[in-house]
Amino acid sequence: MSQHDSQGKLYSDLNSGRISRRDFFKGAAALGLSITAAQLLAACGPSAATSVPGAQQQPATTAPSGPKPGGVSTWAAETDPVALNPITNSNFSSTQGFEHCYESLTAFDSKLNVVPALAESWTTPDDKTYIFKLRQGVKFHDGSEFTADDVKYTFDIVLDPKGPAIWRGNFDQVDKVEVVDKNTVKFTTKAPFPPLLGAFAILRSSAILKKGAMENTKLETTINGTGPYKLVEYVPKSHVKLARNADYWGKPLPYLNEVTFKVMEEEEQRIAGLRSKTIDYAFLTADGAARLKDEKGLAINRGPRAYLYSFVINCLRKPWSDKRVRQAVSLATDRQEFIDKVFSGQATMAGPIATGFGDWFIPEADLKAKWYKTDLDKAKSLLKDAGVPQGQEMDLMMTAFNQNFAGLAVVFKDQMAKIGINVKIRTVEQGVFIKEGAQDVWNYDMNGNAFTARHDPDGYVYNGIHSKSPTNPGYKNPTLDDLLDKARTTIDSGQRHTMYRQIQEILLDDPKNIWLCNDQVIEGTQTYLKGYSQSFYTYRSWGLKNAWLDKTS
Amino acid sequence: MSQYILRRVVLLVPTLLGISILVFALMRFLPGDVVQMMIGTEITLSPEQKATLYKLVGLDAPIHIQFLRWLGDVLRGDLGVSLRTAQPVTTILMQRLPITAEIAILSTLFSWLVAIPLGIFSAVNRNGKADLLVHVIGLVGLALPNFWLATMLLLITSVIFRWQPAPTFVTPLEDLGTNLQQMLMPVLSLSAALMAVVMRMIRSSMLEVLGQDFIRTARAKGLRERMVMAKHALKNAAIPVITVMGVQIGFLLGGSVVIEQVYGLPGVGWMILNGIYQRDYPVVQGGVLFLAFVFVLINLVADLLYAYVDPRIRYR
Repeated sequence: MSQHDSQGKLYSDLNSGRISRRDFFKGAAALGLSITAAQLLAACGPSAATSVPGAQQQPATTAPSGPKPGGVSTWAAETDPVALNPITNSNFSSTQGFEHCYESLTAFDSKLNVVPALAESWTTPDDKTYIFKLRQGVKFHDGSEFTADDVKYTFDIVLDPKGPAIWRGNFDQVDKVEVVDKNTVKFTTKAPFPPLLGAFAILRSSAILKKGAMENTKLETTINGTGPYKLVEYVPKSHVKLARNADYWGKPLPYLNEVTFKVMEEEEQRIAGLRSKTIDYAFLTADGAARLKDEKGLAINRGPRAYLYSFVINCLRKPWSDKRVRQAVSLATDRQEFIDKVFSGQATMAGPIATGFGDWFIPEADLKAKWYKTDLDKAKSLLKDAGVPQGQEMDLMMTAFNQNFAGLAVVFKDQMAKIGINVKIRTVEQGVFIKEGAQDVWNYDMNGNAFTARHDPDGYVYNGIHSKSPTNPGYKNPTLDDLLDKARTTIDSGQRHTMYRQIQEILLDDPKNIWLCNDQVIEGTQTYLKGYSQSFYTYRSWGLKNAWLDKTS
Repeated sequence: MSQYILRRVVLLVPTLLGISILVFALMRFLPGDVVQMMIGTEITLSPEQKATLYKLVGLDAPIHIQFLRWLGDVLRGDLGVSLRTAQPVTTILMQRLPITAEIAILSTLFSWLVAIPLGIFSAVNRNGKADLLVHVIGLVGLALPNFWLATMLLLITSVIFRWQPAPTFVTPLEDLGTNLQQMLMPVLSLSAALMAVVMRMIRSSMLEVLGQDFIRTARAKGLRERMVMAKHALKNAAIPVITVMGVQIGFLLGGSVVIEQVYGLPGVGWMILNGIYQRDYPVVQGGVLFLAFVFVLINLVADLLYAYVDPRIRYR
């Protein structure tokens, strides 16, 4: 039986219920499929090429009568996208601005499964080759046809070592991209590269541009993509106005005719908008949600969020370069106190990989049982062994990425005082924070930061931790380096899971950062807004394209 | 008079040049730049990639060349292009100015409408109960921070009345009714402090004027009280008030940023503030230069108004 036939049998067994999802993954691994490819197949089955993923996956939120197309909706955007160029911007709000208009070869559904987007299927003849069959009949918003040339054009920009692609690192293992024919494109990697399919889906320097777009159009404020919505206008700091793409390949999606994302940075304004029903959707803080809990006609949805709060340690500076000191700081850190005081209880303890990220993270119970037990006596004794004097000063650099960071600093200062470390909080403006925290400047002992969406566990634990990572200020652990290198090139999912568990355990024993917790995606929606589903990443594209208005209910 | 105006206009040139050098230099003193903001805190790029980005945004030239290029463009009426959105700064200004100008004009007019009659009333009824009431209202208006008032208005309108205006800004030409609804809360929030200042100013100026001989003369020759107030007292009391108003309008153009943020109205102040955060040099330079220009012009108009209200003032 050829590999293709074996895959086919595997899908049909899964679909017919002859095998469990767990057995399916085992079988997929045996066939050499990456975890993401396996998830894709499990999610979509062999009919993925023609069906619209997700339309069938939302039965819980779909009324018996089914989605009603049409309508105009206003949603709050809690931050301004700043610019919409999908290649040159790293800020997450930029992705939230263009995610409804651009697509890549793959996408994430609401459960973080990688599903087909502009590629309707793919094969992996060997560990280093991916052949993507592109969806036919897809049109860009200007009416031109989408072809393999557009994929090649985009990735030639992304892969250029001197090019402007901010997230080029997500594709650093890709060697070349070749056009096989008009609807087929081949990616060759330097080594086995399991994160590839997720790297497309996360839309960070991976949105497919029309050939020539970088040179011929103003990508900062205009979009010519293939996504479910066309950009009508983007007025910075004001709004992003979208109109339904009637030619979308995933018909009948999207349902809403027109959607405006109004920039409402003040939560007070978002709350007022939800109360008065002038907006249908808003991102909320725990406090904001508490104020709206008794509001009629409003649903508050919660789920874990890929926003991992941490204190990053500068291991180039003494005494923080000493493993015992870092361990002492971790032992004196009471994560539960952070969750209670800063997040009103609406957060989950997390290790190096954010809790809720697939099944790659160490569960909260394990963290509490082994690593996150506060032990001040042991911490003090470790500091004493390391020769750290009482009243040792720590320069803690903070900036207001959001309103929680000030609270984090204060609680941390209080906790560290208990083991004789005198935390000097240095709050700086964001530009200063970036400059002082940049490679080879590293002007801090510790800084308060947060890790946002990652498409692969490697994204959480390689950058800033591997001794060859340019964002790592002095942390070295050769065993860990070796494991990190192996894990990012291992295809077998089971082996990868074991490795990333080991990696996290090493990191918790020999901390590079003080990982605290990740907070929640809390979103308020009007109850007449149906079909919307939350995303761990706080991407809204899947939710929006499945959303519809049922104003009569 | 025309010589005076000409001299003031000529003086604009060194003033604006000084401001542009100052803003240009101050922005460069700020740590970090737009490319570092684009890269953020989570990743790092190779020196080659960084060089490409610097070239892409036009920051690869030496600073003095950048300044001369920018100055040359400004002299030709081009304020440059935003480093983040690649939009011409003049286009952004033209998008933002109507919002800020409308808030400033409506707030000023509304505050005058309330403050002038109350100020006169208060002065005429000096030390009476009504004067005390107006005095208290003035103190409250001054003491209330406008962001607090703005938040309270948001709460009151949404919790009690279940009402908010349309979220996305609409110009008066597109839909006057919707536009005025959108302006209601920002204007009320900003007017409170403005009217308090103007009211107190009018009151004290009027009190000073009302005690003067020419008022007694006007009354003695049998002029009606209303005429005395409007024609003689108010006109003479207006000079310090005009100064305050000139400064207030100038302040409102750039200073309504908090209110713009609370209500999500992207005006000029917010544009400049965001430009500073993003290290978007042309936006800040162009925005500040424009505001400085308007501010100087408003002050010139205020100075000329002195001559109108007080014929004794002559400019040479």
